[in-house]
Amino acid sequence: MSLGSKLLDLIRAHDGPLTRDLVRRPGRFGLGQVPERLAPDGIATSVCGYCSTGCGLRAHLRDGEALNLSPDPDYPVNRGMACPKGWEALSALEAEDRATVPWIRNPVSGKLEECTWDEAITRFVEGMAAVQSAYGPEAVAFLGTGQIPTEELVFLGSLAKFGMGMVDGDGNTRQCMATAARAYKESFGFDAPPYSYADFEASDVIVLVGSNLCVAHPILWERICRNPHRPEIIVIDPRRTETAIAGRRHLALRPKSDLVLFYGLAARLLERGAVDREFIARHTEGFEAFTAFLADFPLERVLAETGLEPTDFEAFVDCIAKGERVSFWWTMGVNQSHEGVRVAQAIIDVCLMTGQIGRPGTGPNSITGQCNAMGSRIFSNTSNLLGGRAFESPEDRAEVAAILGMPVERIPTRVSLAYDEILAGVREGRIKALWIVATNTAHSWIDSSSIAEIREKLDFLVVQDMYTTTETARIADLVLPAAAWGEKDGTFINSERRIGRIRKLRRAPGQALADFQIFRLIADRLGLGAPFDRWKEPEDVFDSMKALSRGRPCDLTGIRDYPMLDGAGGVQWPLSESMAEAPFDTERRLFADGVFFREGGRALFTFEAPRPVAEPVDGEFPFVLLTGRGTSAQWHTETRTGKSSVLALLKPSGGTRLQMNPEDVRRLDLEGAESVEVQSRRGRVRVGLWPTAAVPQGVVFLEMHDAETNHLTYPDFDPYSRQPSYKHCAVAVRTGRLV
Amino acid sequence: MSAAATQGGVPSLVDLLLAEQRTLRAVDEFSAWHDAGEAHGGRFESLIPSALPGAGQQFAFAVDLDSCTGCKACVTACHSLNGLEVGETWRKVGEIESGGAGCSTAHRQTVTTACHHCAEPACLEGCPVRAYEKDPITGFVIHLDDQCIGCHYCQLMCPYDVPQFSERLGIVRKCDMCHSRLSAGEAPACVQGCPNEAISIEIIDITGSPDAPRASSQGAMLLPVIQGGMPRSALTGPTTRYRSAREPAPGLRPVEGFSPTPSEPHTPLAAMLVLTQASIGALLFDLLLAATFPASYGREARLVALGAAVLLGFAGLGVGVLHLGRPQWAFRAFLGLRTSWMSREIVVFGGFAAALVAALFTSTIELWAPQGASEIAAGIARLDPAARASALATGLVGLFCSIQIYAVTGRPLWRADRTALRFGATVVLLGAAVAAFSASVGAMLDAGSPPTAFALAPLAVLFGMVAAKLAWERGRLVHGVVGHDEAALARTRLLLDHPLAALAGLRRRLGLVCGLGLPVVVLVFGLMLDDALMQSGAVLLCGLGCLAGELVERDLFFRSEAMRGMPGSL
Repeated sequence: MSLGSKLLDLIRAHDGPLTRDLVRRPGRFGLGQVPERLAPDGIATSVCGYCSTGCGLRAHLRDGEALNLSPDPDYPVNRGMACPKGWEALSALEAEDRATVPWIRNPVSGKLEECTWDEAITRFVEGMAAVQSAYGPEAVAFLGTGQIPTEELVFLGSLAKFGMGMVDGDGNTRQCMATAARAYKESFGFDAPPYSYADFEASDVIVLVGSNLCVAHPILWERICRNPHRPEIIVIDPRRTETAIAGRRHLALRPKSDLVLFYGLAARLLERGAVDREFIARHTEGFEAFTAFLADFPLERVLAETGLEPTDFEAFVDCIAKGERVSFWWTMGVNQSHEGVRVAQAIIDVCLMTGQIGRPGTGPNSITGQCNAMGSRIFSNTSNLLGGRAFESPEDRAEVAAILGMPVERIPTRVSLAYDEILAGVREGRIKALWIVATNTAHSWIDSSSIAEIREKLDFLVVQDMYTTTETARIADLVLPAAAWGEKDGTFINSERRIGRIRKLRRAPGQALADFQIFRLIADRLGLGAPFDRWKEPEDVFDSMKALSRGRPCDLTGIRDYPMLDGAGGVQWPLSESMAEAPFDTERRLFADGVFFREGGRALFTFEAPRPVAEPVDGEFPFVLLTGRGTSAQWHTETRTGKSSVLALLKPSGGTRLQMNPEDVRRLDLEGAESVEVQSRRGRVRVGLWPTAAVPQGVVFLEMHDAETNHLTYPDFDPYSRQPSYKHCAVAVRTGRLV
Repeated sequence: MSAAATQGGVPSLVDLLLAEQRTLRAVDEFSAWHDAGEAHGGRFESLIPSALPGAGQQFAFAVDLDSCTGCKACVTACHSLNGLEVGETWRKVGEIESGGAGCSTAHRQTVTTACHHCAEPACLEGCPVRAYEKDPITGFVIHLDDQCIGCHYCQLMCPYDVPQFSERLGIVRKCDMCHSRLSAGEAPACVQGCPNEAISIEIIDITGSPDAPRASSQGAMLLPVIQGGMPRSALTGPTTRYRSAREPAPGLRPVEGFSPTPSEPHTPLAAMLVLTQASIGALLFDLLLAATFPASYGREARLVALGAAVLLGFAGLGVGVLHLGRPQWAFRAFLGLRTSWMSREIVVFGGFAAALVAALFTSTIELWAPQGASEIAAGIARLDPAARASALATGLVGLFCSIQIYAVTGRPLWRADRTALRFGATVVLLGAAVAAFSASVGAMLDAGSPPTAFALAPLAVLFGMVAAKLAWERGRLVHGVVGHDEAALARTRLLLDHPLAALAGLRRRLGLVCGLGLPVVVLVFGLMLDDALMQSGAVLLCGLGCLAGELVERDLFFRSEAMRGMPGSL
């Protein structure tokens, strides 16, 4: 460089270290350009660890460790797209408050103190043994998760029940999916969501029920956007959500009037003769009783209870009656309800009576919440025995014992208590020790103010988590530091039954260990034999899962090994060995033959009269409080998404705000209030105010992400699924003191 | 700990598992078979132009509002694929909403925004070191990161809050429309990241067409659906095209409006403005008093006044340098003279500093010149009035540049008349304070001659000025909001009433006590007591109090500026 140009550059620099900081260059591996600073020397794929959409991500590796992530264009689920959580998945691993060593609560000082793994496992084993010898084996229970790989769920459920003699264990999937699982099981004979995401693209009528898909599952909304048939999109939701606006039609029904709406729909379809008599006759049972039952749902009742305009309701009926390929998709608006199972089954009933199932673009389709809720539903060994079996069935128990090579006596003969029943057991002194794995009960459980009392009743609380700062870890007696998604191997099952790989892309901090390895340590210390002595790697458990699934609806035996999952873009169950012999479709749906999993192969019409909510509004508490997701950048208790500086910018600034209709704001003279107090019979919180016509009058909305929200919620449960009804309680709103 | 668990040299299971946990195998298992991966091009073909823009055209972002559902993947895609630093985002997603009381159904619209790659970029015009370039063919507005001195001025110039300052790097950075990707036929990161294909790149006409950004949008808004408070497109000719096939809903407004947050304080700038203005005021009053009271406004007083002007001036310029992220490159500031008021201000204030030194030289040379050179010294000393006058003149030109810096941003609170009133009042008010002080000290030094009425006259000016300014601030900004920029000023008022209420109160109290109360005390008792030392002390106190008051006022000038950029930016 000549002196002249050096001087010129001094005056006007076009290049230099700052410029090069952002230079992009071809990243190879089909990545396109990437920041030069972060250019990889290899890539690896992994399924995302947030929601059940199960997007494929590509980790950009250098020296084997992930530097960056981008969505995988080859993965059939997301085809190169991801929501902000997926893009930011690595940032949750880098937080300051990662659990890097085990912690034991010092009985004298009452504080959590660091300890060695050796001491931690000793404390675990002795603590559990002490409770079990004093109060019996059933005095210990576990609360698991839908956030860890299926292999770890199998290990946890087996270790707890077959190894440690526990009978009761449940997961946070109770909070999101229990309703759908129960509904499918009863109606179809197996917990089998029938669809593939391709159905989003094949429908001509798409009904979204209690689902803010745009925000909760943005990549599934993308699949709808790819639908070439200009589908009619009907959104059923009391709130005018992002999805309600993006869809073509919005039915803003009154909260918890969905069961009446669907029975009303079924009654009108029947009146119009818009039913598939042949399908009903060949593939279902119980239709006559259903027909008789529907007489209770005249138009007037439906309109009165749902609050819908007659024209809107008729247009809805019309769409369903005339649609050739009608699909219904539901999430938490249905599942988290006091009668959610019946609502889900009403949707199933409508599909059965119209024959909208088994063909492309049809189906009563439950979209799952957590990344591995589906793995948990089949393999967590909680509400059913491994592989979707029944604890009560001697044949099932014998089968499992034979497959795992252990005495059948080790298998409990009754089904687990549900989450709420386990906590009730603690409150009543029957359960004295809890092992909580990868969930944040003290934040997410309904009526969470009650957790303090429950903690007091426990002799021993173990929390196994990736952070030491969760509301639940802070109150534990023993904290076991877990490696997180991205730091371990295994498989997830997504909403459409797709088994996908997750992969170790980063080293876990400090002495954190994969949950799998923590279970191995415990099994080793307890000196347990089969099947635990065979489970050295996640893939060993996967082999057991295959054996457990053989010949069942969820058959996995056609999946040769993990590399097959990589190459195929994940594989949906079922894939039996015989199916795998011929080429099979990447996206498959169930029931094309109309044969269901119930004995006799017929699906069952299931129905029940609607029940009133447990806590209706009254003069003292005149507002219905709904809760739900805030933005696509927030995940549940924000334990992980809260660690990303970028995601923090993508949620509303200034903290949680109560959404309230402007008319109510005016009526209560709250205009300009900086904060308001929201009070229920269980607690009160102070939050900001967001006047918005997105909520109707008489209804208010709070994000579930704020730990305080569940101080308000009412602990009501669906009687069949035991899923909490987060989306209805009565509150009062008052002006807040000025800060 | 591992040693404790290891027995007899055989690694324990814990050790084995910890070792296994540290082993990474993904690359061996996986990337080999994927190394030959597909070419990247082709996936977004329909979303980017296949040819370069022609004459009078440029590339622009196009946003299909009907497809944007606010998932914000664009923000994170941009962040990750461009390797931005923690907390840095080049895209924003905001939300606008309709439906006040009486409105039964809400319409909500999310809006994604990045740099608008304006036809006439204000960042480029404002940059004192020409760290921005507009590509003549593509229209990309490119920031030269190594050229930037971190003066923040582009952040004030840009109506859309696009440039982001990095404390770590000391510079701003911004969206470059992924020009290297576009040149290689790849889509920008945000286009790649949007699941709904809401963002695309297109070629638009920027001149000669009725659709050109600046021609078509005189007085119009970039987002036609929003009412009030948005910058007018005529300012910079933003090129982003927002489209919607939906009926525009009435009364759409940004959701963030419920709780506006204060703007960046820019504290060194605030201090620089007040101190240089005090310096200019000191020179101004020095000349005025010298002309009005040639007999009694003595040499000592004039020296004190000049000394104060020099001190204040240099303090101001010094503290101003603190505002730069990379002050070592400040010498480049002359490059922008042709378009940038910031550049002009820096250069003129450079001259001002030299003029102050010259005046100091001419007014003191007789005090320190060696005996033999007294004749030359006297000759030079005769240039003192000219030197002081030229310092004042330079200062006034600098003041004009300071005013223009803010006036040209198009921000309502900083409109030329409002800024000129503020800054001018500071010059007079603090100049009067310095004059009162130097006259009092001069009287004290001048063989104990008693304070005279002339020394106190500036105090009366100060009293009047503070009263007028406080009244203006309260009346104009807080209560009497008028004009088309009403919405923006309403937000300023909200800020002053709520998050900034404590600061605004402090400013008022400082003005009331030190600008109104103290001068009255000094005027009444000073004349009665006839004690030069006490009077000087009291005047100093009053002056410092007023200086503090002006500093808080200027701090609020920045913090309470509330022009709404794009939704999501405040």
